[in-house]
Amino acid sequence: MKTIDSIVVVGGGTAGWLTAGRLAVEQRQRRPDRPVRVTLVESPNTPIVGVGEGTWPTMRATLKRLGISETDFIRECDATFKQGAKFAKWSEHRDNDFYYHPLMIPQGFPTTDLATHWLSNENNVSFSNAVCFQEQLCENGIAPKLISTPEYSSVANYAYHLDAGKFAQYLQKHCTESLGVTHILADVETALNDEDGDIQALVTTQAGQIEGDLFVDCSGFSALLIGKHYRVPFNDCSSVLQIDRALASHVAYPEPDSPIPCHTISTGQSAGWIWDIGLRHRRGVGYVYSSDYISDDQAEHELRKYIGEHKIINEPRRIDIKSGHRDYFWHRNCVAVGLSAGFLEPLEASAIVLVELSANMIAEQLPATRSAMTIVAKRFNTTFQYRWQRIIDFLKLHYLLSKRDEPFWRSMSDPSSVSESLAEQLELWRYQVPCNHDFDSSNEVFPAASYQYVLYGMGFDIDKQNHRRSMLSRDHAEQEYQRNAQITQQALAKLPSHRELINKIHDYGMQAI
Amino acid sequence: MSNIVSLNFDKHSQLRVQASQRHSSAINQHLMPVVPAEFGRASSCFPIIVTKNADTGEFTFSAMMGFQPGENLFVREGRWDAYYEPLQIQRQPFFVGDDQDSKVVCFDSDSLALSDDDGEPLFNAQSQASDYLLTVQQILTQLMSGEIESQKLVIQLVELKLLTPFSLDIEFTDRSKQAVQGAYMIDENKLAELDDKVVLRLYRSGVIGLMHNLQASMHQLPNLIARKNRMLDTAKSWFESA
Repeated sequence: MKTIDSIVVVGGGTAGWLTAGRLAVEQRQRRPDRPVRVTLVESPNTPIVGVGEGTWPTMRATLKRLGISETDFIRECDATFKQGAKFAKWSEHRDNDFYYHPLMIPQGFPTTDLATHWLSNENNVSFSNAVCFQEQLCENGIAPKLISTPEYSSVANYAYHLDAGKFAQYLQKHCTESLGVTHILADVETALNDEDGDIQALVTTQAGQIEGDLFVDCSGFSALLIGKHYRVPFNDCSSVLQIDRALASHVAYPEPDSPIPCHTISTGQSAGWIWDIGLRHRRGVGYVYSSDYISDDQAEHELRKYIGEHKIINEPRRIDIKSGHRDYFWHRNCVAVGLSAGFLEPLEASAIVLVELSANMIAEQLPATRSAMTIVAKRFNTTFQYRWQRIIDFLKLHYLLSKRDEPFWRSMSDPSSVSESLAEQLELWRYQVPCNHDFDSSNEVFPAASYQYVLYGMGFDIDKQNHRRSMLSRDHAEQEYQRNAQITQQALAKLPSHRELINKIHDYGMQAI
Repeated sequence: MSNIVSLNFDKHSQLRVQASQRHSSAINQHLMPVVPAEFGRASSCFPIIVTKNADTGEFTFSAMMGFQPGENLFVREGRWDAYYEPLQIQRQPFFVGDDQDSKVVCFDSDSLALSDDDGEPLFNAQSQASDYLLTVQQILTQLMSGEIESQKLVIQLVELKLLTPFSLDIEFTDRSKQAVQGAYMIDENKLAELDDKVVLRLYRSGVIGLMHNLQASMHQLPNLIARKNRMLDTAKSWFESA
């Protein structure tokens, strides 16, 4: 019986190192006497894409599991804290249009349903401000924790913004020095199959043949194994999510001590949106757009207009995006993780979280033998087909509710490009708020609360006549709103500015406990 | 209020210190920093807990003298009421300040412990530092090296993961409740699991002894609670008899 003793990861970007590290940790814990060997092969000639700079809060658990100190990570990767996303000019094309998708669930959720109560009243307060204190922290540039809060613990839930290039380097160092991952610099030319059609070895230019029992394809858009070698079909999603280009640049802060926004700022443009991510020493700013509706030159013009007089450190670099994913991700003894598996668009930082989820499932379910691998592969494919579909739905939701009238936005909100599952949910949500029953799969990616923030942030049109009435008494609801207002005031008074906390972490570090 | 002045014979030849009033600056302080050299003596009077500096998040050692900011249960009717007075109190009202590149002795001229006619003189008839001032200088030196010793100890405790958070929920005799949070102590289990070689190294360098002091000091917690209860009872009888 053929056992799984050696894993080869192809590609040294964020996906490659996160997966290699996660597999190495799991195997060392599970089989300390004879851990599965993990090797990462990386081309010395192909640079990593290195644009993904926003994570989910799941990254905290991922880093902790890899045995990484949060202080080191923040120092080495120029990382900052992210408490959600601010969507400006998505709903309407006017200057004060914005809403927040914070990282904390509404006050009292899910036992107390404030959303229904909020909907049934005339409100001067935005949904996210009424039910969550995080929008206020973001608007005021306030950090999600204190310098005395232990590593990975929080006062307000948070994720990270990070320098993707530095992150890959940092993970490489950690994986090779502390987790026993072997690093080979070599260009993969081709893969050799055995008689059953499994990959037996990679043929490389510099390092000869590299054998393995499981091959993880983290080779980015080139998809060396899952695409070029196995020709697993690509499921094109560009009719649903039409963004196909990105222009990425780095922008300087006006002063070394300028405030650092503690959230991703995403601003709607004529044919897409601009991301704006604050790291310690610079901002990452980029425009993702659909080339059907705007030329590259015009897009660059819009990007430069957004940047204004701030100094550009790295001139805009164009990256082509093909929105979609593989029909399946695990084929024979090869599994695709990261861009090789697919990519939609940078909205809601879904790329890195899919890497984490994939790495977790492979690590936790890695079978002992080749024969059992077929079963795990099947499950993996079912799980991730579901997850990709749900992410597509959730991303689509952001565009669907827009009232912007440029051709790009009209086309993106055309009901004919909406999946059946999303159309059904939207119909349901005209009469009732998203709740956990709408998301009963254990493989759900975005929780019901996230749908609430987007729907009511974008001013979703409910059927006022027939919408479910709030079961909350006025007093009870008022108490919860008061409680949120109180927490907001306490947090604003107690927490330092984001910049101050980042500086202190560089000066003093955080304690593990 | 404080008013910082550097000590100078020409100006301060007549200045005296009332040692019995040194604690006057501590009456509102519930956590008093202590250095490893005094752990043994301090542990016989106070719980010594580890807390985080609010500005830097770094661990520091403090003698616990009350349960909340503003409360020092060891000052009773204006007098210091413990067998041991921590170095941070003994040094009062003096401290070390920077004058360009050199260190100078400074003091708080608003301190209640200062007097022109009563207490220990700072200078003797020969215009030299008095025995009292020499002792103060010695204490200040001890505190400076103590800070470095504290940092060294913290690094070892953190590296060996020997600290663990603890919290207390106390109910006093008047039914008032008090939660103590953000405090750390020696993790007994981790200490017991240490590798023999590490134990020997820590023993030789004195760290084991210091950890035992910290552990023993926790037995002062019931005394501190009793002190608080006595204070509450006194207050109660005062109002009842009134």
